Amino acid sequence: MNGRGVLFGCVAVLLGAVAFLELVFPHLAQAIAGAAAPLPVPRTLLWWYLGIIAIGEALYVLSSDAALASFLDPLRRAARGELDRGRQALFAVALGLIPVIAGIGVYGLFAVDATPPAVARQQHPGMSSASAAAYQGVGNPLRAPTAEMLVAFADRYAALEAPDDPVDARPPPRDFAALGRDEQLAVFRDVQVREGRALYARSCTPCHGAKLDGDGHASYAWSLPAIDFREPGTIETLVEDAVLWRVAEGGLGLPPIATPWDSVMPRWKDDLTQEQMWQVIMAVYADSGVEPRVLELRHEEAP
Amino acid sequence: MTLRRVVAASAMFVVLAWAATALATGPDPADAEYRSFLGLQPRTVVWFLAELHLMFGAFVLGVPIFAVIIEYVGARNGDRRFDELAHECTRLLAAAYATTAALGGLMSFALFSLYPKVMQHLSGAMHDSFYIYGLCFFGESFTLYLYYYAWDRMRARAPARPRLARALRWPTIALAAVVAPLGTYLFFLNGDAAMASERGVVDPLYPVFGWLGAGFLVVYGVYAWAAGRKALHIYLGVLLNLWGTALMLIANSWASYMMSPSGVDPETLQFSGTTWQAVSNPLWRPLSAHRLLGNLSFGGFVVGAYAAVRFLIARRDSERAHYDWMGYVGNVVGLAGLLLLPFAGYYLGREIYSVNPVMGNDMMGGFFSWAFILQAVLVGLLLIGANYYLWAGMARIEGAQRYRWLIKFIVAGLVVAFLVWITPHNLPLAPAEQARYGSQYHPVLKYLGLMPAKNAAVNFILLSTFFSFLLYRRANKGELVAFRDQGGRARVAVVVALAVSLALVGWYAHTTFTLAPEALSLDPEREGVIDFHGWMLVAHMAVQIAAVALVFRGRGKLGQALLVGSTAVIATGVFGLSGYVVLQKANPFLRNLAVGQTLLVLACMILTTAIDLALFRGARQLGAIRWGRIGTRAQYALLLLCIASVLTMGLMGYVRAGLRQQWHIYGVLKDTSAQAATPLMAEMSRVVGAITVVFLVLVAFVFWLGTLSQRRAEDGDVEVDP
Repeated sequence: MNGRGVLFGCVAVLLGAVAFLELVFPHLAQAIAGAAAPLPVPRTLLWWYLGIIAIGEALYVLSSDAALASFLDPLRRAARGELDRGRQALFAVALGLIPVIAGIGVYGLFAVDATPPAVARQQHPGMSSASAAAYQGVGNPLRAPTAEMLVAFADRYAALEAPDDPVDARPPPRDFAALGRDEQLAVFRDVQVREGRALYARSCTPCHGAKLDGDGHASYAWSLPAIDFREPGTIETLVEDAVLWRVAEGGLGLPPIATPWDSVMPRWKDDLTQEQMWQVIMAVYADSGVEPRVLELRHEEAP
Repeated sequence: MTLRRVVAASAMFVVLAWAATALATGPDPADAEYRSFLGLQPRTVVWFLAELHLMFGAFVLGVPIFAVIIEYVGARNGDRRFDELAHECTRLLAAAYATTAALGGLMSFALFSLYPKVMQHLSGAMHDSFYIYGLCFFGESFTLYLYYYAWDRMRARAPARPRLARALRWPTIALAAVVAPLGTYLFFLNGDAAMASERGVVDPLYPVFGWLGAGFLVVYGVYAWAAGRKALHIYLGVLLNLWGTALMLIANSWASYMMSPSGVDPETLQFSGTTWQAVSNPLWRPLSAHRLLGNLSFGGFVVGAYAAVRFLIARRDSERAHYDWMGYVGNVVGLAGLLLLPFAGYYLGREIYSVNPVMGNDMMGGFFSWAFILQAVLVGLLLIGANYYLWAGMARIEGAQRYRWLIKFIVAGLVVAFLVWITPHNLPLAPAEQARYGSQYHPVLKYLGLMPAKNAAVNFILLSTFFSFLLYRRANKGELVAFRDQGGRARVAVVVALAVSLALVGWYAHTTFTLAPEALSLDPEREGVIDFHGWMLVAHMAVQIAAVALVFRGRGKLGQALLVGSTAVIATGVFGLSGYVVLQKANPFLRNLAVGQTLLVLACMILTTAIDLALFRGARQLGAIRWGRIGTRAQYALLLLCIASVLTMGLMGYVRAGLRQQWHIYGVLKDTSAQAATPLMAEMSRVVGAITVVFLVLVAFVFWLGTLSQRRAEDGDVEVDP
């Protein structure tokens, strides 16, 4: 972009960017994501990108008098009619395009638009809303059971019947009381996860899918499909309390700031006990291969 | 004329009607938990006053940091220009100081009368600190006026007692070398001390620090007295900074206590600890580190804008030269603070997550995430604006043409990084787009919205800005003096910088290797993912050593290129991509990875700068720097930088205070007033916009007042020597 070519360079870069973002990128994205159809850049983002590229060019042009002069020179000469015929015609076309583009813009501003507007929504609505207050700081008791919980569990464990489903069979029963503390914890958590899985299969699979990828058969019925738990930036960025809140209160319990979610997530506290919901949450984390967000240790130790 | 009367009468009517309505509601009862003033929303009143006070405070605390450094440089090299510049910065300081105090007083009155219940709790927990604050304020005031008014009397550089000065020189330096790192460690880095003090235990290092610090001030004071008036004046400048930092630390403890209260009985929610427990709350240190650097950067940009205005209205070339130089210095200072700010910001953010993950999620993923998109735009504007100013400034340097061809590549790199930086994770999608993607996210672009991409992009922007600065520095430098002829000092400086940067990266490599996956609640088999990053850090340490070896073999520029290149590849390329693997397999490690990235960039800046200083010392100059020969566009860039800096401070003030949401004191004292709801972005934009305008108008007025005496002197045609 040096010498007389600054104007040409700027136009070429901008057109190149448009061509890449509009023609090449959708196919590239399709190949990367393995999607069925090309995946164009969202319109909002496209305008942001082009605007920033244009600002970058403006910065370069304005960073020295020489660059500015070489950017303006062809325009000045064209305005005086000093270019050769071909370029003069190109200039006339470009000049003519300005009111056309402005006209399209004005039309777009005032024409009645049938599509509903896009609205900024929140990925993680905060836990400060009234419906979430009861879940703040609850903590998953099944992760760190107390001694009493383990004693109670020992009785329940002895009474557990072998499930019908061979896939979900629990490990051969052992004498729970004879196990060491770590082994007891392992068996305890293992049973919670297994029972959580069974609950998940019954209650969650239709939408969230057997593979926890949001690909359940009912998922396609909703305008916002069910969340993919394996997706980076979903449940792994949340503390478990927040997940419990979402499961227990469902779409109905979302604060207004999280609208429009159109979430059809049921309010599971009507059907499940809090312990069952914790079991499902443990199963979901275990099977999606992600960890819940945890406090850093040194603050956890603080009183 | 008639129109003017109508407007005046209408305005008077509106004011009277408003006052009558406000007063008609009657006085609030004496024991009210909340009050209002003339019908104004109390929160908006306090917000407005607190933010204005904070902005003036930032200027008043930031400027002395670099004023005294500039004065010291001037005293060392005997160049009168530096002394004049430091003096001029202090003149602005003296003018702004009274306004800061008045706003602080007004804010305190507003808080005590509009929020009595809150202030009752705060003064119950921390009233001891109020008195210390008041005493420090006396210290700050007296030192500032002494520093400013005694400037001319204390110019003499000749030592008063040369033998005593010589004898105390090294003890002073030795004490400073112990006290400064110890203070930095205790106040900004020592998380364990924070833990201990939360439990009411005071780390024994604090009294040691107190005694050593007092000893240092005495020895340094005697040395300065013996070393001549100028040295004593610089001592006053150092004292001024210490008072200012103490004031800031105390005031920060109040703000951070409201976010992360400590010493509170969890059952009764009553404060039951000591004042030190309340002061030393978990967010006190990170907030203070962040504000210290923020003040420095803010002060630099405000001084830059002042210089830009003076440049634009200057009538003489000599004035233009002076203010061009002043604007340049302001920009360098602003940029230096800005380059370090993301590190401190990351530290603060991380600690917020540690104190309360829900608050953290509200900040980055919830209610405040859109404020961070705005912040991304403003920070991008600041960095790109600062870059632009450096490129435009190359016009005044003979020989800079050699490097112009590189600028378009820097622009391209900055633009690409900025595109990644600004791509949000949860972009509003049109329904048709959602249907097409089959999800709430674009299946590919969503990855640019995640932390690994952001960390890589911001580190790349920082490195690019640093690269622009390196180009600017060498713009008029030609043939180099061979490194072996640079003398012992240069060699020692490079080796010390190598040791510091090796220590930074090595410390984190060690932390990474010794980090057990279980400590992050991870499967032990994920250790490989963590260790990979440790090995990359070790590899970079080898590059650091190789770069310095090249410098010693006379291939310094190649060494620098190797260093900057390796940092870019590892911190942004490798760690940017491996961040996604971490996200998937070892998510809790992501915050450690980000620290590794920032340390790599920081170490690169330290070592490359040291090499640069050693390399270009005494290099042949291709031409002069023609101060004043810069376009007016660059001055408008300085103004833009100042405005963006003020806006950023206002915006992030909203986020910091707003994170408490419906709590006055998080988890302890609930906001039960009618205005308990967190202000929406639209209201924030209006209030912060209004604060920005009022601050800029006030600051312009105060600076104008400050320059009245100077103008009289200039009318007498005092030559300002560039």
